[in-house]
Amino acid sequence: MERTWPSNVTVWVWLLTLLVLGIAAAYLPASKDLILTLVFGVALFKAVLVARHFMHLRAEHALIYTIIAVPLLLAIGFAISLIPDIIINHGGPPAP
Amino acid sequence: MSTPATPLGGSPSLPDQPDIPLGKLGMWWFLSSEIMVFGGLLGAFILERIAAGGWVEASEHVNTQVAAVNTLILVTSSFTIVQAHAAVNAGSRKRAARYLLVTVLLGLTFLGVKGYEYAGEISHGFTPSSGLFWSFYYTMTGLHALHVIGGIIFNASLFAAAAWDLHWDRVSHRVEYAGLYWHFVDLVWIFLFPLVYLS
Repeated sequence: MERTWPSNVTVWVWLLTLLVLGIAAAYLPASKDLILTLVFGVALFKAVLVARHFMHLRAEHALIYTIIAVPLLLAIGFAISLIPDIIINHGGPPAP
Repeated sequence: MSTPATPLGGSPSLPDQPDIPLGKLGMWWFLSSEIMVFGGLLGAFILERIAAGGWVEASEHVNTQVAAVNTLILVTSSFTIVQAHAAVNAGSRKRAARYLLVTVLLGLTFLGVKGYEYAGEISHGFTPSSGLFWSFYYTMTGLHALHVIGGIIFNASLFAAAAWDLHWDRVSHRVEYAGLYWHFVDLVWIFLFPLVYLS
């Protein structure tokens, strides 16, 4: 049985809903850490929706995934590799 | 020696990768280099923000409401260009032209709103030399705006081809490539918005 995917309109409505949720999360009376987790969680979810459905990455050739994965992992890895300097030389994140 | 296969849309593909048109492969290579450009910039922003103090106060002066409107505009333009691609697949040139026109207009609206936002910030004395936050702000959003301009030119050229049937049969497959690029521009903004305006 062929799998059905959500329509472009459905994905668009989801993206708009998530936009509202992301903005609302930023104004919640909660800790800064929780707010940041929610805001960036929503952003990540939106990015996955765009990539999977609008860019058709839900069903793409393995070569395309490889082309994307290498720079993505490098960019994330470079940022993570510099975090020890912040912890050691700057004493970690500043207090809110 | 074998001739590269020609899949849908007339774009040749690699002999041993017959289902990936070369144009699409090229676009993904280009986008992968763009991941490094924006990845480096966003990574530097995050690390500097963690290491340096005083950024929270600076970021309170950005216009979140205006940026939210721009996010709505860009997300909607992603929808309209994917609809243009669907119209191409359905063989409807006129419908593709309409969606491409709306995408171009939304892109121009995004730039207009961004210009209004810049004007407000500069009038309040927040320029690129006002501090590290503002340097990052103008660099990241400015580089993103340059990509929006590039996407508008690409989409407008395809709109012209669709509206006036300028070799449409030979170029219609490029709507998919323009869409990939435009969605990437949208993806960058999806992360820029919370980084700069909501955190």
